[in-house]
This record gives sequence, structure tokens and C-alpha cells, in this order.
Amino acid sequence: MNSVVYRVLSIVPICFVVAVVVFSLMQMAPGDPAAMMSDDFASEEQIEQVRRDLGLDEPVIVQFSLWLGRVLTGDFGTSLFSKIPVTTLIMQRLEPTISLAAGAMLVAIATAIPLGALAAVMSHSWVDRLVMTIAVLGFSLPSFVLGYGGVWLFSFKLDWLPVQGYASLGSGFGPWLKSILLPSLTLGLISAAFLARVTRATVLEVLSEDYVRTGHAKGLAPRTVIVLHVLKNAAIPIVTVIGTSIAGLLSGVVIVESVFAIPGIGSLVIDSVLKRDYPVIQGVILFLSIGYVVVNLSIDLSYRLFDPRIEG
Amino acid sequence: MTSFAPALLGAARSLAATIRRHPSSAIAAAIVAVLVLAALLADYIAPHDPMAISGRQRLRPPSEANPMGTDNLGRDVLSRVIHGAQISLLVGISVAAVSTVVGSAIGVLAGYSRYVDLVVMRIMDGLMAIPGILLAIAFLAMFGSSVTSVIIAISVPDIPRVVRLVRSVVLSLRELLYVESARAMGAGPMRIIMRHILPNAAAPILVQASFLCASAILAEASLGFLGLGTPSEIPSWGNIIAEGRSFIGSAPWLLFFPALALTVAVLAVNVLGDGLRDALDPRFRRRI
Repeated sequence: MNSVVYRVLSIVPICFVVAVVVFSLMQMAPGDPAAMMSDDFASEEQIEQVRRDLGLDEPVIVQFSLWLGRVLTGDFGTSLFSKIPVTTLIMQRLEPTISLAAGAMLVAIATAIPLGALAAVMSHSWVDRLVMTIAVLGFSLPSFVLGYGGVWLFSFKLDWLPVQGYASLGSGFGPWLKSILLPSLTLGLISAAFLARVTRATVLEVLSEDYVRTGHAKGLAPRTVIVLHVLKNAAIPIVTVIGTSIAGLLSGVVIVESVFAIPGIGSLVIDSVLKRDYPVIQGVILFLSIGYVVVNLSIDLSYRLFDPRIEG
Repeated sequence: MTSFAPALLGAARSLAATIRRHPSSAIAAAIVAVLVLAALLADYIAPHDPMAISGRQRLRPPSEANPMGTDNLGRDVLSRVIHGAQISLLVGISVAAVSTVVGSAIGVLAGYSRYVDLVVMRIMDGLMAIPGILLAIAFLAMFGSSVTSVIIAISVPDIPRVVRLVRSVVLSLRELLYVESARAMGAGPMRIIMRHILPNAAAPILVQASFLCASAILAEASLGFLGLGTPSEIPSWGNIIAEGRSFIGSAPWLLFFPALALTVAVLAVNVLGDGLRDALDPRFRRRI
């Protein structure tokens, strides 16, 4: 129990550093934030009033604590342009982003784990070399290149899938799947490259364990040994890597959303950067980073369910 | 002259043996060499001026005069791709250098002092929690886009990776006997770090630097593609792809050739990094 509490508390300093980094970046932003948050025709007094209301006339440390207090209650500020709360903007854009990230993760896991395991079981054969060559290629292929390759082939040449855009789940499962298929494949196959390399390395390590040799010696079918003994024991390191690779996946989401014109959180951040809408940039980075930390914490804690050897 | 010939022959023989043993690394090294030469000699080898606009030459498919076709302003794509190598390599090499030097300095300090370690590693964990491209984008939003700010924006998210690697290497090296005996002989921490630890940590740091170079080339192109990277008037590969994206149906060569150059460059640097790791660190050979 103690170790669970310790693990949960360990994310506090990480989130604090994220908050400090995000806050300092915004402090360095050019321009007067009070003037930017006021109406275009606001008088000098009105701007001063905004400055006082937001605590912008206080010392930086006080400003930081005020801001952190607001963030902790879920108040990420409001957009300088639409005047909509940042939290609302993020929630509006959450569905496409989660659809894309989950779809990509599914594609990555479904391709990387069988291929990586196969490469390890048949290590140093032509299968191994082929899988690892594809993995290095996937590592080096920019997601927007793969994405446009897919658009060119499946949308322009074959006319199977829509070129761009997103159909929400509310408009029906079929249209949603069609709109999300190519983006998920693009991002998923890129993420699969790294995962396949890690799966291969982990499975190779487990294959040399004594209990695997025992499994073979007592006459178990090779498939049983692989599925029951090897993959089960390789699961934890692989799942850990899946967790940490979410940061890369989130970076990929920003680019793939731009390729396919998907109105998700990635497009929100790009639009905000082009408009210099600082509160939105700040809110999105904070939201995604803390989301990443929390997902990794949950993965870490879930090991205790899967593996009784890890102390609860 | 006569004593020089056998030495040259020996060198050529060992080079041939290396190529036979690691054909993919040799090809990768050759591609990187070609790219470096193309970048250095871009002004001389590019058939046209990469900026020269020609109304009558718009969106021409690949031909003898323009082997990679022309873009929507009639500029020669081949000349633009050759000049694009300059930005990609400049950013790739600079990011690898900046993040390796800064990251190694912090990593050595963290590995050497428990107090520094405690604070520094929490900061690094926090930095690593922010998706790299978002941190770079936020940085560019604050400081505007120039080649220098792109280099810094891509280096900052890479630094924690170097710190972690160097710290773990230092932690394992500082317990070794030869470091202990140097300390017993009265060597100060600075001397131990410079003379005994860093030279032995060089191999993994160099391998990491090559991978950082590859990912930086990719990141620079991604930022250019998003319209947030190097100023759009500079023909970087990401910018050329970003400009060509609206013509994917009518003029796919605008995307195809810069995308091919980018992929081949990143692949070559990655494969070279793999080869470097195999050559320098036999323990990691063919593991990941």
C-alpha cells in the first residue's frame, strides 16, 4: 500500500515542473497579457482593471501561485479570441483526438507485438531481418509523408476513402470509421516501428530463461510455450514501453491531424500558435502532458493487478 | 612513395572488409557523404536558382530540363531539394551537438553529485512528460521562427534524453576500480570527469548523438510542414512539402521528391547510428 501512495505522490513533482515550464514559457511571451485579454477598444483604466483582476500586477511568484490555484480547480483561462474557456475548447476537440490516438495505438499493438515476437522467435532468419528492416524504415518515415502517400493511393487513385476531414461518432459508426481509418493506420504504423524493436528485444531476453527451456523439455507445443510463458513474461516491459510511447504518439497526433484536417486538440494548438492565442497553447500543453503522466501512472499501478510479485 | 603504397593498400583492404561485413552501414555512410557534399556544394551543383520564379514553367512534371518537375511558382524542384539538404543537415548536426554538450554537462553533474541529481532528475522527468513537438511549438510561438530558434526548440526536448543516458553511464563508471584508484591518487573531481569518465562514456554518447541528428532532421521537417519551422522563404524539405501539399492530386511530384530526400536522409543517419552502435558497443549488438 505504501508503495502505491509513494508512486501516486511521485507524479506531484513531475506535474509541478510541467506547470513551471508552461508558466515560464508564457511569461516570456511578447506583448502585454492584460491588454491582449481586454477588448480591442478598452481604455487604459479597463486594461488596468483586467490586470488587477488577474493578479498580473503582483510579483511573479504570486502570479504563479494564483495561476496554479486556478489550474488545480480546472480553470485553464479563456481564449484571447473566442473568449471561450480553454477547458471547453479542449473538451469540444477531445473526441477526434481520442479516436485517432486509440485507433493508432490499436494498429501499433496489433502489428508490432506479433511481428516483434515473430522476429525474436525466428531471430537471425530472413523473417527477422525483414521485420527489423521495415521497423528501421518506419522509424525514419515522417508521418506526414506516409499520410500523404496513403491519401494519394487510397483517396485519389483508388477512391476508397475520404481525402480529409472527420465524421463524429454521432454521425454513425461507418462514416466515423472511414474518416479515422487512414489517419489511425498512418500514426499506428509509425508508432509500431519502435514497439516492434522493443518487443523483439524483450522476447529474445525471455526466450533464454530457464522456465522456457523447461517448457520445451516437458514437451509443450512451441505455440503454448510462446503464448503462455514467453509473451506473458514479456508483457510488463512491453506495456511500459507502450505507456512511454504515448508521448511520441501525442506528438504524432499534432502532425497527422494537420495532414487529414481533423479538428482535434492538435489542430487546436496549431491554430492557437498561428493566432498567438497564449492561454489556449498553455492549456493544451498542460492538459496533454498531465494526461500523459496520469496514463503512465495508471499503467504502472495496473502491474500490481497482473503481477503478484510486484509489492502492493 | 614506395612505403606509402602498401599502407594505402592495407587501408583499402580493411575498408573493403568493413563494407563486406556491414554493407548497410557502408551504403548509409555513402548516402550521408553525398548529402553533405550536396549541401556544401549546393550553389554549384543545383541546375537552377532555387528561388527563380517563372510564370510559364508552373507545375511542370519531371522532364529533362527539370528532373523533379517545377512547383506552382515555376521553381525547379531539384534545385530546391538540393538546397533543402543545407537546412536539414545544419539543423540535424546543430541539434545533436547542442543537446549532447548541454545534456552531457548536466548528466555528469547529476551522476556525480547526489544533491544535484535529486533536483535535476525531477526537472528532466517533468520536461520528458511534455510531448516533444508541443514543447518545440510553444517555444517557436514565443520566440518566432528562425533557424536558430528552430535549433533551440528541437534541442530542448532532447536534452533530458542525453542527461538520462550520461547520468546512468557516469553512475556505473564512477564505481569502477580505475576511477577509485585515480581518486586515491588525489585526482580532483574535474580531473576524474575529464580524464577518466568522459572518454569512457564517449561511445554511447556518440551513438545517441547520431540518433538525435536523425530525429532532429525529422522534427525540423515536421515543424516546417506545420508552417511553424524555418521561415517559409527558405527552401527546407519541410517547407517544400508544406507548399506542395495542396497539389497532391494534380502535381504529386511536388511532395514525392522532397519526401523521398527526407526519408532517405533520416534512414541513412539512423542506419549509420545502428552501425556505429554495433561497432562501438558490442554488448548492444543486435539487441534493440
